[in-house]
Amino acid sequence: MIEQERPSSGRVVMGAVALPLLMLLLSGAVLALWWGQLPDPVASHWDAAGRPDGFSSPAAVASLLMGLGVVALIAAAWAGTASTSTAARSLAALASGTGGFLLTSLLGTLAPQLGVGDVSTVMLPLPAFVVGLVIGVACGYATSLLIPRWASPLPQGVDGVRPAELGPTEVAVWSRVALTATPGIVIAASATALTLLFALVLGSAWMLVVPLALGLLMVAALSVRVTVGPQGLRVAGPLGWPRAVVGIDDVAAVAAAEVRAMAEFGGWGYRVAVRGPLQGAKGFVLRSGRAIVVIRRSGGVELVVVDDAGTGAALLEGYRQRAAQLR
Amino acid sequence: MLIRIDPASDVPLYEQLAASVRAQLAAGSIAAGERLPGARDLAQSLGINLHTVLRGYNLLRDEGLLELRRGRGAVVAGSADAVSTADRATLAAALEEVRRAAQRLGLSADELATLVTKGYGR
Repeated sequence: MIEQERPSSGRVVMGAVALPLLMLLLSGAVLALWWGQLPDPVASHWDAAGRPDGFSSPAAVASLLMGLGVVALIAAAWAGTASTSTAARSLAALASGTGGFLLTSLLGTLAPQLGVGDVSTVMLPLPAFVVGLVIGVACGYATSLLIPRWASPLPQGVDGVRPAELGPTEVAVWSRVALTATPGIVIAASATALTLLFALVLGSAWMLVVPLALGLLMVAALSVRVTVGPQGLRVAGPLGWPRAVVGIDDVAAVAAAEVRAMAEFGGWGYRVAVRGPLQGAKGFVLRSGRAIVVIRRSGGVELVVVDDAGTGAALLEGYRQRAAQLR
Repeated sequence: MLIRIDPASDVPLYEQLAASVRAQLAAGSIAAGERLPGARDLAQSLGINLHTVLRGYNLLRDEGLLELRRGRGAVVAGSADAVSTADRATLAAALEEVRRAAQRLGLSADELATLVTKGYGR
């Protein structure tokens, strides 16, 4: 179930903190239950062979445990304020999972020490970490399920596009080739030529593998064909790989935006934006220029820089609206 | 390159496809040397038969607008610009004749436009 608008912050944060809070309360309850039987000091550190080599007061271990639980809780709450569903779900799952693992494992190291007189004989209980791992993964997964999915709005500074006019029975296909910026081609060609030269000078047959692989990579990835049709958006290299396909039913919003390859994506290729309004978006940035930007229903943002991107984006928006009416 | 076809129209699909390419050459939105999508891919995207696309491409090749190469797909021919310029000159001359005939009949611009629109959808 995917919502079209961001649910209230309260709902997202509640989903994010539910399991870390539960883990914190349960750990507190277990500690309270065990308090009378905990030896003083307890073993709190073990050497490589699993023999205890560090000891602490039960109060110090309890504070550490509760402290970790609170940190996980705060981290999960902060994750719940993220603007995209993907970020909120993955960050909160990480916080919740890590918290669940640490609390369970720590309690697990205390369990065999209950009521023991000489804790220096209590070996590190390895199964505690296995159980911790299982509970941690379960906490992370459950947290990702508790946070609703929503389609991200267009990032600020990125405008939507007007849909292309489509007759009721009309079919239109827009298709264009995007080519890597000239400096990128020069660099790739030089690298191929240089390694080829090396291989020839050294007279080594297997060294030829490097320029061959580079050459193949150049053919495969230096240009892509971008196609918008009734099925959605398709980007593919001449050899069929790399490729990206966004089905029309997976499109939540379409935009066209100016993209700077170096400043925002750190170069040319299939990349993730590290800066700028599209931060976190990934896609084919073979040069700077206008890009078709697609926001998926899952919240992910894909883009491809291509000449005449406005026409492609408008057609995709036209099909998106047609598909939305049919639903 | 934007190709529009309407399966509900009476005009054969391959004609519509060829007309779409011609219109864009005339508008200057595609130029000599540009590679059109492979026939198989285009047929799949448009949801029409591969042979229909090939028939459209072949028509454009016969008009000197496209070069078809095995394995390399369809490339807009170097002579395409000249052909589309010639087509536009023919259209301009025909329009001039229509204008004179319409003025002799005393038609207003709107009445002429209506006549053209009616005839154009055929």
